[in-house]
Amino acid sequence: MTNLEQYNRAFMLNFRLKEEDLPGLEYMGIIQWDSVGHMDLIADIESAYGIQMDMKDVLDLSTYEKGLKILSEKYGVNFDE
Amino acid sequence: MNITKLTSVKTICNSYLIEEDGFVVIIDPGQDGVVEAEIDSKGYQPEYILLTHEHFDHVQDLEAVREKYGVPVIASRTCSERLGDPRTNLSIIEDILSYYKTGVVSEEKSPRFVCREAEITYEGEYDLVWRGHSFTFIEAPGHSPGCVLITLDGEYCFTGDYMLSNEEPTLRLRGGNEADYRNITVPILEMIPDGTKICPGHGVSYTKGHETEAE
Ligand SMILES: [Zn+2]
Repeated sequence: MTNLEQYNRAFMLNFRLKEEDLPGLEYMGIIQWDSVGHMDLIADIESAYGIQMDMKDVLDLSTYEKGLKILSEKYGVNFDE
Repeated sequence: MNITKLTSVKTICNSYLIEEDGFVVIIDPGQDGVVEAEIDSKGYQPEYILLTHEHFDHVQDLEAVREKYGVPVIASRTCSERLGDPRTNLSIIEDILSYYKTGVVSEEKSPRFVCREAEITYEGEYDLVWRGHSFTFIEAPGHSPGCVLITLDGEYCFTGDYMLSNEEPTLRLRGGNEADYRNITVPILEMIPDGTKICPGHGVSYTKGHETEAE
């Protein structure tokens, strides 16, 4: 699985969504992505890449796109592979 | 018999020591070394560690305590299996959880940890006779799949994260299951007789049926 596939999978499994639902997705924008959903999402993302994010980044990860940016810029996750 | 409640600072989680003639049973080793400190200062000799469930706040000191005193751990099979993954013992979300509760970002990152499986596991119900006392364990899923209620001599009930004095149980953390709670656990909780001393994993103890006199 590529890094992008793992990232998408974390959203799709936690929030029961299809891949086409992911672009533009926002924290609190759907009922599943509330604070509890956010904890599960972050846990899965961190497990997928073997990282422990700073709390600031955990809170900044508030859209599908922001997550890609934070993970690639701060945690070296390569999404272009 | 003496029962001592010890509360860890970080998550205000209760551990209990049940003492008879200098020997003790530990319920939920908790965090911050509170159990070890009490045992060493009193010179107690631990004989068993009992777990109410697998969540990090109840088991963070488990490995240190079992290592130091070499005593067996008793847990439901499900609890035991879920100790070994930070995603199921929830240590992976400790910092976010604490941020949601307090609004404060902790300076240090909490360690993710795993524990080894319990030496003694059971499904459904289990009984332990210890120094003239009788412990009964019964599985009670809902808050987490590994939750149990532990009754001592039909007089005390150690309820883990159920029956907190002023709080409904949390059912939405990963592994939580509202249907299991309603269908399996609520009927068990309702059968606990009035007059039983409730010793929860957080907050004050009280007597069932006399909730207003919590101490
Ligand atoms: Zn819990």
